[in-house]
Amino acid sequence: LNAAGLDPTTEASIRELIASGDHRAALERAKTAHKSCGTAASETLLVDAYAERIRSLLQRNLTVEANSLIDLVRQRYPSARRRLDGLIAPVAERRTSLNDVVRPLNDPDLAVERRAGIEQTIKQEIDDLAALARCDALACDHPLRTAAAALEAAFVAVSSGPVAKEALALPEISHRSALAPWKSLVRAIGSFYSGDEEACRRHLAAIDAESAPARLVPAVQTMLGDSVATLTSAAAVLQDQIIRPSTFTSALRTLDQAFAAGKRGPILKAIRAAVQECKGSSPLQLEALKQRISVRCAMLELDVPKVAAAMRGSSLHDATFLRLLARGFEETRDPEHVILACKVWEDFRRAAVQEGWFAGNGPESAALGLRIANLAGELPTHILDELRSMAMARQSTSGEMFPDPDELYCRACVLDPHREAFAQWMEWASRSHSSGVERAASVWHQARPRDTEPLLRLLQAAEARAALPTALGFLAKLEQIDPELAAIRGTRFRLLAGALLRHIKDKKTALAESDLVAIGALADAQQGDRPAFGLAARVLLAAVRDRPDEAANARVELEQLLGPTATALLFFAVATTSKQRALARLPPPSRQLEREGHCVPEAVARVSVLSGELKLKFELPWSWIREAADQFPRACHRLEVDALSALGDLALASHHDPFAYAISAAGLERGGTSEARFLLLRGRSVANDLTRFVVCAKAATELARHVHDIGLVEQSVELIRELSEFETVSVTLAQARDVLAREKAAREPPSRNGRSPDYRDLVVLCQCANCRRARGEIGDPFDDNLDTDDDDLEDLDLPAELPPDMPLEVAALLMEEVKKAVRRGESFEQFKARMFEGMLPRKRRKRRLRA
Amino acid sequence: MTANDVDPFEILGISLDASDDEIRAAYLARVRECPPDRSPDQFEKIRNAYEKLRDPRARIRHRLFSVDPVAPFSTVFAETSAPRRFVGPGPWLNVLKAK
Repeated sequence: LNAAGLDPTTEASIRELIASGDHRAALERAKTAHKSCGTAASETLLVDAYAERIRSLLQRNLTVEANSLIDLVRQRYPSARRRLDGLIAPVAERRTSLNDVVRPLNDPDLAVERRAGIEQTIKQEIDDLAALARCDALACDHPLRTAAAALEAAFVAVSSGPVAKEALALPEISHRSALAPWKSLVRAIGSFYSGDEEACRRHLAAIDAESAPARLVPAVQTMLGDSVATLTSAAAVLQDQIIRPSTFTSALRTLDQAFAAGKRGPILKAIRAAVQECKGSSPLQLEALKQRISVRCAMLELDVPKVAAAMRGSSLHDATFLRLLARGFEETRDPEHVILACKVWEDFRRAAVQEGWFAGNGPESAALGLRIANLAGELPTHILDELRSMAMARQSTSGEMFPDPDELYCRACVLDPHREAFAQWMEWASRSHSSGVERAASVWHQARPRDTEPLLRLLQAAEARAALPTALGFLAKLEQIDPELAAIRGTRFRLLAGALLRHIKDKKTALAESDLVAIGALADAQQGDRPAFGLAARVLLAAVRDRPDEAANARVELEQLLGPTATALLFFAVATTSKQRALARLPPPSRQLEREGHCVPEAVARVSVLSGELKLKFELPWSWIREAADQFPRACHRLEVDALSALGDLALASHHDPFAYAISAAGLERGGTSEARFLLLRGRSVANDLTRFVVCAKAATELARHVHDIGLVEQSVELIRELSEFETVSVTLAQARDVLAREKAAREPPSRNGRSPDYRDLVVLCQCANCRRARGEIGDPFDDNLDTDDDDLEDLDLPAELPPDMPLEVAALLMEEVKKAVRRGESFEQFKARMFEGMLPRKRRKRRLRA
Repeated sequence: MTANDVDPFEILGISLDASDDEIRAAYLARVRECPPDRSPDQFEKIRNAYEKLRDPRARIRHRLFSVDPVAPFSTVFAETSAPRRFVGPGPWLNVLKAK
């Protein structure tokens, strides 16, 4: 709308013209005003002017013109329709005969606009073709009369009996004619009766929705089964007269109702009646009906002999039946039926090949194999294992094999080796934690050597089992296929680093030396802290070779690069990974701090990032974690996002939840695309509060999806996959942003008296005691007050206070175990036995117990 | 395929063993009959049907797995069991006149 608005003077002048009866001039000026303003007020003024003009036309008995104008205004200004309805009644009352409407068409000089108005009226109002065909106001050979006569004849013909398609050509009616909708209607009715339902739908779609014939469209659509709209009483009568249900149809409806109710007695009775009727009225469909009945009964597990008796004989078990049965078993989702579906699909395959539906080794067989594999793959692992062992027991006698998903996928992929099938196999293998991932990848790679997915999997598997030459071989293939592949960036450096540390571990110093040379020659060897790794490895190699001077020199160089703290940490990580920890004693952090001041979090983060990249073992002693946590508030602003993230992972791995919480707060403060990552960290740092954990994870998933961080999406989905009680919780993007804001505001970790974000508006969970206990919300006597004289605690006969020299972390671990003991209902003796027996050498255990 | 779905082969007016070329030709012919500007709903159905059938593997899957085992009996066997009776123009005109 134009912001300029309607000039009050202009409006006043137009209203004056209306009041004075000069409606034509008022309308013209109102049109001009609305054209220039385009506001709601100018539209109201224009509609007012139209309304007065229509009234004046009606007063002069110019009904057709008034009618046309009403249609025009209703079409252009839909908001004014209701107001114009008030004007339609008088029009209808004043509407004179059909002759009055069409008479002006005799005038050869009739204005184009007026002719269009009359034709529009004809299109919308004419519901009696015979009257138009006999209309005296037009000459006998007037095209409108001849068209109406032809249509009338065709309409009577198609509604009274079969008509040839050619008889409905009706060339005298063009698609621009006012009677074109009638032509479409007649053709639609013809197609309806001839059974050409698609043509019928096409003709119905061609009928102008504003035309009179359009009133029949819903009735025809309902009879076609395309619509369930409520029909007018006349339309309902028409439907009943045309499609009067036969006794067979009535029997089928009763059968449908019986199956919907699911009661055995009425089902069997309805089967008897339907089969009886089918024999009489549609015997060719009898077998198909019996097959469908058999399948529905099998789905409901009804007694087979009784069903066969009701049908007066079993149904034919051919490929058609087996396919329907397999689909039926699939539909129920019952694991037992899914197992049956697997078997029946295989039976179908054999029957279909035998009946000539398709070849035994073609794409159809591959599609079936994939279907069966997917079905078997959906079964819970314990059921699969049970079935496998049962099949193995039977195999010696019957030779029957259990349809193992691995074998089924393999068979399908070999028959039709396409990426989608292999990806499904791989996905199943990964999901079921089967050792088959490598096999799937291997078969995939053999069939499609240019696909990168299997090579990546094979590389990962080889690296995981430290088969580094093999891994390097796969990497070389990947580099050849796509040198820019993001997934292999930095892989060669990591693999060579792994080989180097392994050679140091095995004291193969010459090989380690050549590894170092190879690493140094890599193009990306100087990226980030990678040179530091090379130096740390050189220090270690020199130490292993017992060359102290060489080690000292390399260490000085390393300290110049990283500083003493990070050097100590990196050397510790490198030595631990190559099982040379004796050569890398990590001094307590306090001694380091005296020399260096507050840099522990930075050093830890830096080494964590490098360790993550090179898959080094970086298991920091608790004292270092605690020191990093203590110093974190003063150092966090100096850390990059990646360093924060690596530190967060380390805090979680060390079970230092408050530290992880503080890191998440610092990360969330940074904003940007990494927010999702730190929101997930926040959730993981409060994992004891399941609701908050799940909400944070789901919100992180949504935010990560929004920024296309697929890795994070997969990680967060995996974290909550097992929490079935939260399956129904869903978080929209807007809600995720709200969660983010709430978590940003909650800077302090949860405490007994502090307030955590409340997500009851997002999570509606069952509040029964069992479900709350399962979520850890009740039933834990230690949650509220650790120092109370709780009955359970008294029963356990715990010492009054902890030994003064017991480290806090040991006390915390002990407390966790005590909680588990309470939940399990263990006695103190049982608890002691579980905790200490079998863990210590006998002699030491005795001494310890005495102490 | 559920009871409410219309068979894509039927929409395109082709046989179950139609080739890629036949499917494409049938699709183009149907789009010419029902262009998106004149019959948007019909065009949508035609487009969806073509999407379901253009990939040979999807076509095979449709052919093999699209049967609906729980379709109502009265729908599956309706076409031949309920003949359409000719009733003359009167009942049709009554619907038109009852606004």
